[in-house]
Amino acid sequence: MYFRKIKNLAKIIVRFRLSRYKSFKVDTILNFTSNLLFLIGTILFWYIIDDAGFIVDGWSYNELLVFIALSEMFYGFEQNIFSVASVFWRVIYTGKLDTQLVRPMEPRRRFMLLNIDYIGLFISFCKVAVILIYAQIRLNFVKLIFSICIIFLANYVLMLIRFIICYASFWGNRLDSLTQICDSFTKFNKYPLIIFPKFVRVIFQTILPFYFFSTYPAQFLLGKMTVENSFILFLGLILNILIWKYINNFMWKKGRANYESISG
Amino acid sequence: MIKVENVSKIYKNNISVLNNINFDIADGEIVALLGHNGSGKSTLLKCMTGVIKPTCGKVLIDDIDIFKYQRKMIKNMGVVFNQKPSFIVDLSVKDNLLFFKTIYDIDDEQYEDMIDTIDGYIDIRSLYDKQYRKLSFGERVKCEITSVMLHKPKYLFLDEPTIGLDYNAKEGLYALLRDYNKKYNASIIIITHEVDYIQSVCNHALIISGGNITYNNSCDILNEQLHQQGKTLSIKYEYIKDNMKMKKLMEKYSENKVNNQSISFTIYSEDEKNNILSSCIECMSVLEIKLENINLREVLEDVLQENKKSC
Amino acid sequence: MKVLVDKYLVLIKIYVAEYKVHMAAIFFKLVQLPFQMFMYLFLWAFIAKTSNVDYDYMILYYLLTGMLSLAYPFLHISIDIQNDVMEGGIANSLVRPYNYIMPYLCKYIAWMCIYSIIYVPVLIGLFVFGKVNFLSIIFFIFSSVIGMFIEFMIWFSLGLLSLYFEKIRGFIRIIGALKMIVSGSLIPLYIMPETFQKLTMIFPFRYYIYIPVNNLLNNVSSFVSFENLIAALIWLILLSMFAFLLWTEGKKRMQVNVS
Repeated sequence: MYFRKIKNLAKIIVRFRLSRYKSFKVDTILNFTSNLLFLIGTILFWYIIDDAGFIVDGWSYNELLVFIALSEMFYGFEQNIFSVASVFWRVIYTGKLDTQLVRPMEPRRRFMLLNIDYIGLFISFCKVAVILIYAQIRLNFVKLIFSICIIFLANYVLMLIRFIICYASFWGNRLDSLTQICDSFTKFNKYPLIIFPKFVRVIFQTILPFYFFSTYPAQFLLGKMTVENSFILFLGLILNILIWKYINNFMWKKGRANYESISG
Repeated sequence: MIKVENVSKIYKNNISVLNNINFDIADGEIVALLGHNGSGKSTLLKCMTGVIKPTCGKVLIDDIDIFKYQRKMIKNMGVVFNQKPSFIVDLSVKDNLLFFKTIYDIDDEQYEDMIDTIDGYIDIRSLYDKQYRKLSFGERVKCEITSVMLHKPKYLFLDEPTIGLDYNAKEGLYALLRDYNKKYNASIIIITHEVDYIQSVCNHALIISGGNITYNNSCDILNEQLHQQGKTLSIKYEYIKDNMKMKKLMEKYSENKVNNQSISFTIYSEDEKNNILSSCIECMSVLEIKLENINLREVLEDVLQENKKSC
Repeated sequence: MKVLVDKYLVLIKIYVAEYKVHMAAIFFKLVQLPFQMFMYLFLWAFIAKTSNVDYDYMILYYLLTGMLSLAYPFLHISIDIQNDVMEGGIANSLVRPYNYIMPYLCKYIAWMCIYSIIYVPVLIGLFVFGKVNFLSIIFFIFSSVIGMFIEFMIWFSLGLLSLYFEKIRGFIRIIGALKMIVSGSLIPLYIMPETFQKLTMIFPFRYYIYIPVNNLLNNVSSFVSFENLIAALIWLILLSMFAFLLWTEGKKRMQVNVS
């Protein structure tokens, strides 16, 4: 019965998404085009760096393309599933949470599920495939799947952090900057984090999930790490998940107890 | 059954909105929650639905603390908040209702059955293919009400559900609520300012004033009190002919209100009316005479005032 | 004319007063800048280890472009108009005795007035440490002011597209992507191949980011600076006319949704 409900929910959400595309065809096409433009911008940046003779030590241009592909995978998950968590504070701040609290679907889950863009996600996978083919590096398929799973989990942790920041709205004040703070974390996906000194990298591997956005997946996929190191870093991701899940649950409970709603 | 036990709510800026509220709502009751703006009605409703946590006290629905175990009770409740839509704005009404059907896990038969039932009262099917954001305010209210009744909840909480509804739609809604209550023995709590409808719909009234429950009884008793208030005889005059007679008149019929060039008397019988009229003609130059039923809203205000004084 | 100017001035003063009370919110907009600079500091230091890069120039460049691009939530100009149209709130503006652009423009000007405080210590620092000359600072101020209005007109015009298409997220993202590539915020334009540099001249985005920063850091000659100012003014006029056209035609075909 539970699976039937999940199936029905998934069907209806896909239907909603298609319905939205139909209603706003021009917007849909332009969204897709803009994704391509952002990708062009990223590739252009590294092309210019390479063309100007600037070198990123330890990474060839083709390897950077693999990094870009996984970075695009991160953005694909982020924009089509998880990024909407940054604006959850508005639901709390405007009192719209009331209407969601009295429905059987958990508000955060509802908020996320209703904003999933399945088509955008599919397009992201296509983009990643194209870039990887263009990079012309032979890659292990199983490692690739594992890397994509890591990116998904890293996004999940980032979503938890975003929600935690948004819970500040339970304590009253409007903070547009909450969204800004949440979104600024994705800047750590733009460049390989090997550029940072070791102590910063350790923080990004244990307490914060930034290293797992695309640097760890790229290093793992390109065989730039030993098996031992890969395993240890993977434990770092698990630690991240546990820490942030706990903090998220704790802050949600505290926030709910403090919630005052607004207006009549 | 709903039990509200010693519920108080103090907001962060030290404003006390609810003050040690205690009352019970038995199964199958239709309760009107009345009060001034800012009296705490919506806050009380939010405490009763587990949306906000009372500062002290608790609300028990079927002996379960609603704030702590809200997710367990959700499928037994249907809540409509004042001017807070729960629909997805860029989807059609049909799609939205299908979404609610899915999340409440309602089977097709029950869904169609309820839609047909509700459609018979408030004509919801005519809105099916329209996008929610393109609906008028009243149409949106109809949609919200439909969405909270599909799963046949045992408890309905409605915060001013008739705002924006035309006369027919209001009549339809109240008929729907009456029939729903009879058929499913559901408890319905309605926040409303439309005191005119109390008698036709609700059998229990709660009046809240300054965070306190000042009236908690059957609607019949309230109506009895209201009907005992009589009628208003309003007289407009140009000038006073005889000040002494005027003074005697005012002393004799002390239930009066003076306003510029007009006086209003509250009368309880035909004799009283005739006496006052003849006295007025004697002592003032009468321009206009009006006889009207007491405005129920004014009476409710008086009840609230009276309760305020006795408290 | 005087009445019109007075309306604008009054509204600007009101917004300035409001922002003065909530100054923290304005500077919180810069919250992304430390994250950004953190990345750039280490990225270019890493690249500079093995390449011939003017590290100081790069850091200053990204600091200034970061401050300019994060100066205002430009996206919100368009999104607010979109929401106004989609939710029907625009109807309220149509029955008031002021132009639709007025509240947005006044809010923007008020914000920028307060925000410009941040440039003072930066410019003083640059001048004191001999990185720039006084004339460059003057041209920076003029070109960034004109660029600021160009930026506003771009996003305002974009917002007006919602009168035609209602949902314009796609348009906003396209402009955002184009801006990222051709404004100079991604990488200094002079590093780009010449073909790309010529391509960037087709768009007005460089006049808010690259031109002012380039004027300042490279001590560009007065003649070139003046040329850039004239080009910027021409763009401003063209964008204003475009916005006016969009508004006039858009009003006719607009469907006001019930709010």
